Amino acid sequence: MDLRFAVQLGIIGLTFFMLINASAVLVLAERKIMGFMQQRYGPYLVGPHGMLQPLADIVKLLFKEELRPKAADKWLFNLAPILSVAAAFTAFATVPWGAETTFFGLLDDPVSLGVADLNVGVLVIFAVTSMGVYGIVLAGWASNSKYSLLGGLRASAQMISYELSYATALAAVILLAGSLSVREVVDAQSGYWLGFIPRWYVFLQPVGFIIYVIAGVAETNRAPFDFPEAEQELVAGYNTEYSAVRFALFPQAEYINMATMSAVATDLYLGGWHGPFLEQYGLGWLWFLMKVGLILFTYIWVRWTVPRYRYDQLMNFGWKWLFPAAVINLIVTAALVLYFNA
Amino acid sequence: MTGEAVAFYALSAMLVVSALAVVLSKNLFHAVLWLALALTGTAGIFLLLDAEFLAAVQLLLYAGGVVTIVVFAIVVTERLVGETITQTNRRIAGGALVCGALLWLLITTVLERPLATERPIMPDDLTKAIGESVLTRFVLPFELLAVLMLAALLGAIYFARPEE
Amino acid sequence: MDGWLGVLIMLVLGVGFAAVMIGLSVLLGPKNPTPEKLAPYECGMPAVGDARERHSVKFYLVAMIFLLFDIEIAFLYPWAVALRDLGWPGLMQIVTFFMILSVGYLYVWRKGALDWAPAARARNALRRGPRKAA
Repeated sequence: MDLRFAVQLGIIGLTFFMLINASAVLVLAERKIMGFMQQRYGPYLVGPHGMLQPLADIVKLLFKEELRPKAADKWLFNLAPILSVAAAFTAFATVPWGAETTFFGLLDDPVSLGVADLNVGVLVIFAVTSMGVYGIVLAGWASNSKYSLLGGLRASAQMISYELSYATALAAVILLAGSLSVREVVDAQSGYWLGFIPRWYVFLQPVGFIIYVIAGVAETNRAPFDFPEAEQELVAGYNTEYSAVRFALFPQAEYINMATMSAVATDLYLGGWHGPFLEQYGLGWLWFLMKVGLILFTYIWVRWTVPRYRYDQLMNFGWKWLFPAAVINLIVTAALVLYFNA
Repeated sequence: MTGEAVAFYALSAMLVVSALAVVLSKNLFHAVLWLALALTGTAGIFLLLDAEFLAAVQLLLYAGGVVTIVVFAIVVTERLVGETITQTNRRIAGGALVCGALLWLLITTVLERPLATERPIMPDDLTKAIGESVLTRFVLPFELLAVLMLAALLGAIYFARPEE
Repeated sequence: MDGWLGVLIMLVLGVGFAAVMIGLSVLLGPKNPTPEKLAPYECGMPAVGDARERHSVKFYLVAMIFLLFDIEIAFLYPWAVALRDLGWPGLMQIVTFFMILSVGYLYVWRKGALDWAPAARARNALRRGPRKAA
């Protein structure tokens, strides 16, 4: 096994490890920020300032009893959380998080920071996210409980509805970059206009960015679009019947999906790892982390600020406003690109 | 054996097993999941043929879209006649006969005209090549496809009238 | 091809992680099931009947509309990559494609398949009522 391959394996392992950590950090961040917004402390007892709370949670859940309704489908009931988590990890595989590097001259050829650079990366992200619906609809069906089934159905209808807007908004970015490879889209955003405005696509695609972020919130089933688990109506939605670790895996998949959404937004709209100062020292990935962190904070901020909509409002908004807006945005972008290129 | 050959045989085995499971499993919902696995395996075969775009579209449209439709169709129509629908396999012998005949036809055809084993030279950006040919050489079928999809949409609405 | 190996490794890691976690929990957790624990969740009174009942046909319709527009998006991406080479004629062809599909989209909208609220449905029925009588 040569050094280069080993380094690439190491990068994959690191990405995987960081994603697991990301879900733990996000759980803590969510509760801390929620506490802050509601003028209380949030978790405080486990470890300094409650930093070890996620660890305590997972250890506790490991020692809890796994319950399964007698009428549930045994295999599918177990398969659903596995599929959810696997789809979440796989979706991140095509998201690069740093520039190509030789690790300060350690390697002859530079390797890229990120699991995989695919020629059709954007499409693969989109395809894998659409397969993430499986885990949820399976969980709902396998539980054989009314709340779960209705939650699963709602979740999948919501996800497929917003997927259209999301994919159409991304197509406008592809128009600008002329490539389906995420890394090439990021590299098309390096440099500055007029010497100080970064060439990020968010400035060329403000409408597309907003559509993408809204659809991203709906795709990850987050408030104000958290209908699959609307407590007041559905108990806990598709994971009502789940307990112990199997129950923990669904939120984990959700948090990883949130991280993926934010990372994709960073790569395609906010210039990825490009930014002043840090890039020269090969530390562009710090920019990437900061931008992702900012978007994730916005996600949490929105959750604790905006109340949940009604289901019909969600479907109305997705089909009658967001999707037409995304299509018009795409066609206008295409016309402008052609006009200025000719 | 090269890695490619190993991958091909593994994928083929997966395809055959999951396809058989689709037709033989009694539970309709399980059959759909096996179908999803079979469609994903097909995407893997496309990948081995260097058709990356096709593989991604296969995942997106078939494993993602079509399977979702079938799942929804099952959930919506389940207990339509007061009992759970199960899949029946009454004509296994006849089905096997037809499949065997089809297999024989395919094998004899392939053996008659040996396929090229050399990898043809591909353009650099296949996705771009696809986009160009769809919108220039095949533009009429492309627009007709929109008409076909329109017909499918109207048909779906007609059969599932929400109001009446 | 190399990149796809990374995707495969990530998939295997994801499945492995989830399976190990579930396995650990099965090993470590207690097991004393009672009939109440094995019943589906209910609030106040035992659940009546099976969960797998008929559901609104709307869900199926949404999936159908989704699939058609999903196909459209699968064609959008290669066009988006080749936009600069195809130029204005390419844009016109895509716009025509959109126009044909938007006929279906408007039809679906007018038929009320995109309305989920009882209020909106009632309004539509009212609007349609007199016309039917006439």
